[in-house]
Amino acid sequence: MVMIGDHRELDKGVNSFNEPLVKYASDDPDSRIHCDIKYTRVVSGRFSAAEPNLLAIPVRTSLGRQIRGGFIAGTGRTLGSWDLNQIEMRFMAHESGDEDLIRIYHEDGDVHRETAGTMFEVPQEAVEGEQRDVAKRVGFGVITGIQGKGLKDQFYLNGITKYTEEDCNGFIAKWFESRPGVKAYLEECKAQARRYGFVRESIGGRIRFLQGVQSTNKKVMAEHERASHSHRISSGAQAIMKKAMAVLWPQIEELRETDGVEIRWILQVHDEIILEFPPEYQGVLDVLVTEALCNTTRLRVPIKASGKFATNWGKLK
Amino acid sequence: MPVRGRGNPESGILMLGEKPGQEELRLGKVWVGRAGVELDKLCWRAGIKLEEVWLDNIIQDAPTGDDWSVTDADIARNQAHITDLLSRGYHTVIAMGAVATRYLLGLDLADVDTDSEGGDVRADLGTVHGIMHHTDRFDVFPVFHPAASFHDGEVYPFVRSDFELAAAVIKSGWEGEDREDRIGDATHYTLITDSDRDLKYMEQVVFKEPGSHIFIDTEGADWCLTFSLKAGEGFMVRKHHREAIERLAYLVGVHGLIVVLHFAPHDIPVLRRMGWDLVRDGLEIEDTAIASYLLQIEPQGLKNLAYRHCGMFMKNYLDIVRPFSLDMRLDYLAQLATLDWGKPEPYIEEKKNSTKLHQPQGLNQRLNAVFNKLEKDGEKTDLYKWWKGLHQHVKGAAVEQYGDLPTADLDDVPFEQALWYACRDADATGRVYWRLVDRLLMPMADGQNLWETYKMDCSVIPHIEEMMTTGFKVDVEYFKALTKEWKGKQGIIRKQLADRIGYFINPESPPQVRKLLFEEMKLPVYKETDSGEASTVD
Repeated sequence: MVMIGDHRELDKGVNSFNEPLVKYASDDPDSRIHCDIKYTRVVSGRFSAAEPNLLAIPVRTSLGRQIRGGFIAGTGRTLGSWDLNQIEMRFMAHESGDEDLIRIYHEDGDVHRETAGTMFEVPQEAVEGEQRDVAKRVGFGVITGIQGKGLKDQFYLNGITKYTEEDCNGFIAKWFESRPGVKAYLEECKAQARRYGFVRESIGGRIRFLQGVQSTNKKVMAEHERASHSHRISSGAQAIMKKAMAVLWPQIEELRETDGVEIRWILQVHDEIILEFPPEYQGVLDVLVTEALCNTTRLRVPIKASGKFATNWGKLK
Repeated sequence: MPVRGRGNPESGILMLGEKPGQEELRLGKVWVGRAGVELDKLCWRAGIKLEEVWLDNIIQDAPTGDDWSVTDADIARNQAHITDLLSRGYHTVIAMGAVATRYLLGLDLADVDTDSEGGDVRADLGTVHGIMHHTDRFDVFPVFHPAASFHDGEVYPFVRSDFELAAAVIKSGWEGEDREDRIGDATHYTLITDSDRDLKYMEQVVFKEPGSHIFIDTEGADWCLTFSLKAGEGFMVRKHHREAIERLAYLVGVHGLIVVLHFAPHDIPVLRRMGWDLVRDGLEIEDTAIASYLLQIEPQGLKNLAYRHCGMFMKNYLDIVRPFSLDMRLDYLAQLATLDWGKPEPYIEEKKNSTKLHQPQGLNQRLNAVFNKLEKDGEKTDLYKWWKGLHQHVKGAAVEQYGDLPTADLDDVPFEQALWYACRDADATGRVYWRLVDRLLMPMADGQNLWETYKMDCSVIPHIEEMMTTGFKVDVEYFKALTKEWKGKQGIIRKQLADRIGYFINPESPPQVRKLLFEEMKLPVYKETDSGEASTVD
């Protein structure tokens, strides 16, 4: 099965990325890929892309990294990538007002380790890697409304087959016990959907219609209940990104005009922005971009962002 | 047995569905199955009572099986029922679903065919739902089918809001929002050139009282830009009239106008190539596509929005150029027919449960067939769709040698038609904009509106445009080498797999993998596909 999976991953890499990328780049005199950014498709406010879909290149897999390795800066230039650190989790802490989560972020602690400590009733320093991994998967899963079966599938796909669906339901229940503020917040999101027929995220005001929470079709109801909080969180994170981008535009314009420097926006991939510029501007841009990302929107927890610099995309991660 | 309608035959209002399901057929009554239960709930929530309407379907019987499509044959078989039903003096018909809507609006019943050129915007339920259409016999108020959300929960908000609006139609005779195109044919679409007379006209007449917004559109291949400052007016500037473009840019800047485009990141680079850089000029840019996107229950195409909100009929680009494409295409195909293209290479065709070698007919045979069809059906023959459907093995050599099937462009169209077509987009953008702005500003149930969200999304238009225009540089040789390496690895995997199981399989073929994993290795089925087969994904 592993061999079949590997074959298919390679096939996807070749057919969805490598060959189309060569074709698109060959059509351009400067070997640049000009994808079509779809900014009116995703209800959370995220961008999607087509021809080719550069936003769908896998982030965490080795093949994904190899594909990114083929994206390079122009001659004599460098790439800078800044990403918002754990932005959805931080935004959930902000929205839910969960005191413990807020404290951890203010103390710059390890959210998943501390959560695992509470979940498995062990001191933080005694938390094992596997326990932290469980807390991390549940924590990220909570944002999208993960259920026991989904969590089990996730473990299974990562080669961890020892947990049953019941175990996974238990993990989720324990996670919520350790984060009561989040549990209350998720209920509030559902209540907002039931009351108004939509939910609205608090930073940019984007709504999502979710009358399905009142549907008697259980599948539709469950889907819309999950979306009530996932929309508010992922859409809020996008609003933070877009507001920061808007603040940055005139600052970068000023640099372009006063110094005559060519700084180019290359891509925004969810919680990451990529710019291309002459290497000597790395310092000043790092200050500007980090400042805009961290301080344009104020939350109850600090927002953190950091820049990485390289001449190819694969090395930015 | 034929399925009978129910409700109040004297109500004057017909709620018309499509086709009975198994439960309806068994009981001989409409709307008693799963969709009927959903309809009951929607009506109950909206306050619609059975005694206020007559409930029925276009089709009284149905062939066995799960085929839910309605064909012309179904209509023909049920013609007596339909004729009788629609002659009972209903003043309003609530058309539930696409089939009833298309039938009542006199459109083609088949799904909107994306392989064809053109198409009527009214065939799209997303465009026509929840608004009133006046026909010679009755008013038609299309709504989404109650069962639409069964497979796609995202549709549920549309269904709910449609039934609430339908309740207003039924209970108080609400005629829908005012969307009449009062300007009609009294439009004023004009060409502006570099001549002194035109420049003076633009400055002194067109921009005399320009308002606060300018609505701009561009045509493909940088053919022209068009702009509109008020409803019913539109002005075209061709790309080579640089002085006019420069003067226009100056006037927009001087008057501090907000520039509104539909899908702005696509127009901005075209305008830049014509010499007008909206972004560098620091102009405030808005986008009607963003407005419709944020409202969520709106279509996003300009033509669809213009029909839905302003009652404007607009021509599709392909409808404009199609008559002029026909001659070019006939010449092209006739030229191909004079040559011998030989027998095409066979290719592997993978179907649901089988893989077979397919030997297609040669291009000459296909050309003969299409010429015969043209002789029989004339201009109804969709050459574009036919050509698109030909396999690469059949047409590849011809395309390589003579290029693809030609399509006319605006240069081939009489100028007056091109002017009308191009200016209408800018005019429509303006008319649609104000309708959408009303909705963005309307307080919602939580007391807030969507205006600030709209401004936030518009604020990143320059970034999006720059990302698309700049592009991401790639190392082509790197990707070629990577492909070679990965294909080599795939070959090794296939060989190792064959050594292990004793024969070669294609790991990309779900039937072959399914046979190996679940029939031979007897692995448990972890997940099923929508059609109920064991999934080989993951």
